[in-house]
Amino acid sequence: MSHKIINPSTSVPPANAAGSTGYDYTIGPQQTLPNSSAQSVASTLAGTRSVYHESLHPGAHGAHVSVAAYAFLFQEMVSQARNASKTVSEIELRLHRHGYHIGLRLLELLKFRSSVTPGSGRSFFHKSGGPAATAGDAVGGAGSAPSGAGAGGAGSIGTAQDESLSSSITTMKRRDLRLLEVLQFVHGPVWLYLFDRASDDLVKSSERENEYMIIDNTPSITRFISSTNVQCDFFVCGIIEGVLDLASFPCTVTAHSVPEDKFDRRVVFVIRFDQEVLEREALRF
Amino acid sequence: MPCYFAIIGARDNPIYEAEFTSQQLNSFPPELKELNPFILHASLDIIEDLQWQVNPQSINSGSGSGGFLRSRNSSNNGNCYLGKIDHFYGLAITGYLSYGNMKFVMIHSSNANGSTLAQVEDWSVRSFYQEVHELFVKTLMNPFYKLNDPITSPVFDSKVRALARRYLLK
Repeated sequence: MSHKIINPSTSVPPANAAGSTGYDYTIGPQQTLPNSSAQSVASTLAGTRSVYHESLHPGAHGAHVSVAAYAFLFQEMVSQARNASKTVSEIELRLHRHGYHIGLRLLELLKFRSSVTPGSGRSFFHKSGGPAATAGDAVGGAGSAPSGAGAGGAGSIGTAQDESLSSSITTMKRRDLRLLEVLQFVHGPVWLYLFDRASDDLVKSSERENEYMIIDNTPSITRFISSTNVQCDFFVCGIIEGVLDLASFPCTVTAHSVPEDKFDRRVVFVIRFDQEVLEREALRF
Repeated sequence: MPCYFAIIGARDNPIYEAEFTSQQLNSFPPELKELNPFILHASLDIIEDLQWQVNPQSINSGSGSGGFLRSRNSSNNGNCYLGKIDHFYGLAITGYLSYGNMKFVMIHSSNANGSTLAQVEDWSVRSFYQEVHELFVKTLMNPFYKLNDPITSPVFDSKVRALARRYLLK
């Protein structure tokens, strides 16, 4: 965060600053101006496409990335980390840090997406007039999942992308409060989103109370990496840690390669929760 | 009724603040306006307690308006929207938690100055929070945005204000 001087607060908002500049923490909250000026702001911003004009709908962008493209990117990440570090553990730390920021975003994104009622995908492609139209679409379009061709069509419409998903949400998914719930979320939806399958096992350690293990028999992202002195799966560790950290389950995650007879690339992700998580769990539930 | 809305980050720092007022509805009186951040931050303790309750809404809705019916309706689903969590001299405070435990808090004021308790329309407030939550997720999708940094985007600002006009200022 860049640090700026916070001005003494004034009751009178600075002239014509509101609305045009966005939130500024040195000024504080700004009052809503009358509708006319807000529209002029909207019209000046209309030409620029921002992240807010994109849809969060899973069908809005291509749902899949080819392994080749991904492997290329990952290879660059590993070599960049390798060139910048002196020790093996530093490489792993860098990969871990890359993943962490993905994990932070995945928690919010996946949870939000899963709150959307299935079948309301259609209402995203056809601009709906209101709740009634949404409901009608949900009934009619329950069977047809948005395909890749449909997503391409939506891009050409343009205005349909502005539509928010929340209008089709009836109940938000619950936040995960218990340790097991949030681990199930990593084991299921997160793995499904990243690797197109659930992880192979979720085990509680028999030795330590705060230790859980997620087991992946055939790790996808490191399948082209033969070296074993650097554990590139630390990238996935970072993702797991990011998800759990943001859900306020602080922990440390490490990857260990534990080959078995059938799966020689088997990786075990060991999740070690901080003591406060167990204490809270014991207090609350 | 005028509202003061803020998103509070993990380090209890405000990452977004806004005041929703309009010409036909009176705004916060200037001498009380400065108090808003304090009132809002005072309710953070309550949010942090509710954060780990299984049914945050059913616990505190007993004193609120229509508490019995509401708690029956929403007993088993959704713990993001916390409902009315606090009040302070006629101001009502509602809260919402995102999945990453970002706190969305809002102060509702009644039109009459402090004489009657501000009424909160649960449905529209909840919809407002959900829409802002979606905007926040979109903000997160920006790779240059760092968690817990202030959201300075003018597009975000104008979109939130448009939502406030749709759901809150009636």
